[in-house]
Amino acid sequence: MTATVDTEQFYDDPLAPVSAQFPLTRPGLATVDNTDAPSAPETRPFGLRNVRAMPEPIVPPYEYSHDQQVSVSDDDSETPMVKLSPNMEWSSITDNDGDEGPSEDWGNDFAPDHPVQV
Amino acid sequence: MTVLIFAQDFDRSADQVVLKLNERDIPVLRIDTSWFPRQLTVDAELDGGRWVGELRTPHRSVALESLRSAWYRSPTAFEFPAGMSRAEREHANREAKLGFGGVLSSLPLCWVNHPNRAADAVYKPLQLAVAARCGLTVSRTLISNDPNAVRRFAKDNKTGVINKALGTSRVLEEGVRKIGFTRRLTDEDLSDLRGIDVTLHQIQDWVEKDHEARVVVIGDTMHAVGIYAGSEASHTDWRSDHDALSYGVLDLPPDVEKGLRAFMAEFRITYSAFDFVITPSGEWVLLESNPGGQYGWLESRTGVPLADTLVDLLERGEPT
Repeated sequence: MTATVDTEQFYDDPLAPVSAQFPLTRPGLATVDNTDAPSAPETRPFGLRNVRAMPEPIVPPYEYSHDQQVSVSDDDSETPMVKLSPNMEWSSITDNDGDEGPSEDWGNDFAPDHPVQV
Repeated sequence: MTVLIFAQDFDRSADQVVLKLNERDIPVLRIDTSWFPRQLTVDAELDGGRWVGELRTPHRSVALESLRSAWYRSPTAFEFPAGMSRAEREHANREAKLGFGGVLSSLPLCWVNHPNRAADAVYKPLQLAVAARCGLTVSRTLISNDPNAVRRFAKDNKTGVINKALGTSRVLEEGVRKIGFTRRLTDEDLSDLRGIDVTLHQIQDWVEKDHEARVVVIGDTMHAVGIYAGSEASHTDWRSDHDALSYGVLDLPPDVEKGLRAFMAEFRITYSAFDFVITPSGEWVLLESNPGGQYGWLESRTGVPLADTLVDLLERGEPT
């Protein structure tokens, strides 16, 4: 008798506490690398029937300052972004794509089956 | 005693909290898990019943035993060196997740939120059941992949029903980001329910609304902000048309506050953003709880001191 081991089970079991715990979010500004087209209506989830394309996130030029531990302007002044543009429209960055603003709320639900390689 | 913040590099809310902690001379270490393993080192040793050691970046380090509180904001996935095979990456990811998650979540800190408890609290069907038990009014809800059940459920409500995703409504396909908002189901939708059967769908009664509210609970403090729709799209789902929204500070009805405190205690979480519909008769109907919900734009619009309240909680550092 041959036993098979499902190597994806650890990640794929949506009810297993260990897979949900210590959740990490998808890098919000990552490149969209999926070019798959929607499937036929019979196989495409009904809930996706009316999804619509979002504009690309608008992110001002910045650098992360390990010294100040905040995002800063990408010039020599290294001014914290929140001080540089205190009245910046917090919703000007697209929902759920990296920064503040009205957003899809719980981003930390991304448990990557195929971890990021850089 | 140091405050530990898990956040992405570009995050205005996290930036704001870091600066406020600096103003109070409270030590802070901000990290993103995507820095692991290239720029983030863990050195933890079990000492009796507690892990001791340090978290170290090329720029600073902190002793685990010197942490007072942790804000688990939105850390991103680990990033492993190029050259690993898929199997190696999966192994490395699993070990990192269990190692990080095991060591950090065991620390007796003031967690905002403890990641594992927040993970439990993200299940909307569980939220709705707990909320109802806590005395909050929730919308009549169906979770099903049966088209006949959807039609039966829809027939029972004269104001109609809506479909809303249980998780994120964002998908990445055709090379672009796409998003789906709450939508009212039409007769045409109900006559063509192809795709209902391939996964579970959340169907709820459409609740007649005067306006909506987001209640941000931070520790023992609750701030309620009214959200007023100025367009048809935002009336259905305020996320779909931000430019049409206006805001105002609201008083929270005592029975709603009592229910929210019970909800927070049940899940043992210290932060959540709750979305409500306020009906024309003034009833507060809970739509959902967002244990990682955004708050910054509400402070920006209304001046409600949400960041200061959060910093107060992190500063107190009472273990949760």
